[in-house]
This record gives sequence, C-alpha cells and structure tokens, in this order.
Amino acid sequence: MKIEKTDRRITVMTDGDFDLHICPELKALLEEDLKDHRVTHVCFDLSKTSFIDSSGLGLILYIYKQTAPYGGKVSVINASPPAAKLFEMAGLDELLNLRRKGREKLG
Amino acid sequence: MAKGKNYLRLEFYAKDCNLAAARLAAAAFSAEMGFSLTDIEEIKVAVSESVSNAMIHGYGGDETRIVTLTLSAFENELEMVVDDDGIGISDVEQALIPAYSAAEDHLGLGFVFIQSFTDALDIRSAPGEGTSVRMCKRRRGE
Ligand SMILES: Nc1ncnc2c1ncn2[C@@H]1O[C@H](COP(=O)(O)OP(=O)(O)OP(=O)(O)O)[C@@H](O)[C@H]1O
Ligand SMILES: [Mg+2]
Repeated sequence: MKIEKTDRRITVMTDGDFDLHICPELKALLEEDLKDHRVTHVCFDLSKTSFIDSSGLGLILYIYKQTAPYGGKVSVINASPPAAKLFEMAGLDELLNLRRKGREKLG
Repeated sequence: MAKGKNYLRLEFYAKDCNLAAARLAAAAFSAEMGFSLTDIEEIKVAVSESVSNAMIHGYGGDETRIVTLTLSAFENELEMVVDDDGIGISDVEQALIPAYSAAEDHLGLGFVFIQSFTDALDIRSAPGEGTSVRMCKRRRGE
C-alpha cells in the first residue's frame, strides 16, 4: 500500500487485495490526512490491486462522503475488468469517476 | 453427506487476514474443476463477501471464533458453504434487500454481488444460532 501526498491531492495505491484486511488501517491513515479539509482530490489507483470486494468499495465511498461536503473529489483509476464491474453494479462508477485499466485518465 | 467428486473443508479463525486464504482455496478448487477465469473472479468475490459477513456481522469482530468454508465439486456445479456460529440473522428477507445493511459505513452489497455471481443462494439462519450461507455456481459448457 502506497500513499502519495501533495498539497491538495492524495493518491492511494493498494497492492494485492483491497478487502476487509486492509480497510481499517487505510481508513485511519486517510482520516488523518483529510481532517484539516485541505485535500480536494483523493485518487485510488487500482493498477496494482488484484482483488476488491464490497469492503473496498465501502471504504472508497466513505472517503467520498468525507470529502464531498467541502467540495472534494474522489476518483478511481486503472480498475481491472472485474473491479470495474463491481463499481458499475454498485452504481458508483460515475460518482467515483471510474477509469478502467489501459484508458487515459481524465482530469 | 454427498461430497461430490471433490471436497475441501477449511476451518479458520475469524481474522481478516484469513480472507485471502479462503479466496485462494476457492480459486484453486474451482480452477481444477475447469471454471473460466471470469467465473473464478466471481467465485472469489462470493467467498470474500460471505466470509467477511461472518467475521463482521456474525462474530462482530471476535477473532477467536471459527468460520468454515466447505467446497464440493459436482459434475457441472460448485457448491460453497460458509458457516459461522455467530449472532444469526433474524430477518433474512430484509438482509437480502439491496443496500440494506445493519452496520454503519457498509453498502449492503455483499448479497447483491453473491446473487449475481452465483446460480443459487440459500441462507439458513436464526438469531443466536449462527448462519449458513450456501452458494452454487454452474460451469457453463465449452
Ligand atoms: N453471517 C452473518 N451473520 C449475521 N448477520 C449477517 C451475516 N451475513 C449477513 N448478515 C446481515 O445481512 C446484512 C446484509 O449483508 P450484505 O453483505 O448484503 O451487506 P453488508 O455486509 O451490510 O454490507 P457490505 O457487504 O456492502 O459491506 C448485513 O448487514 C447483516 O445484517
Ligand atoms: Mg457484507
């Protein structure tokens, strides 16, 4: 798991499994980074994520709900086909600006 | 008990680090049965959702409790059963409603994913008597 921070942007790269096992720790780290409301964009880069389930989706939506009230944006990039399918089934693909693997990221 | 052509039973503590082992066992077992890669991804999600539910809801995070995953291979079908001995579900119909969740910050999508990735879902549960989630997935012809 790698978290890169610039002034107003955080990029989270989870490697391997994005499941219940990593969620509590990742949530605590991000909550710390978000608490002063300076971060306006949180980007989840799934290029090294081999598995995600509802626990991972739940965490990403939770971060969206934390940042949205002060105008923050959350995006998910480099989703594999199975991962992208879950975001679509959950109806979260547009809300989370989902970009699939192999496509140019926008914005 | 009919165990089919192949049978594997995994018993483990309700520690979230064991989710990966449960998924891997199901992936290897279903690969051996000839499931496609897409099907195997779906099987992993179904196992992950049901085992996570046992840990989070059934046992409320008590890592000393035991979850079992039982896999049986039949001619053209994989049967997966996840059992816990936890609090149970008082209203199974309600639990199956998309986006219903008893827990804060959960999406209520676990059973939605399971239902769309498997061909049959059967939940046996009663308050205080644990939960048994049985999922079947058919192998499509070549
Ligand atoms: N093994 C279990 N023991 C007790 N209750 C359960 C069990 N499995 C599911 N439930 C109940 O069923 C509800 C729905 O489960 P489901 O997996 O669909 O959603 P969730 O776990 O709440 O959210 P998500 O899976 O999106 O994180 C749960 O909120 C819980 O109340
Ligand atoms: Mg669940």
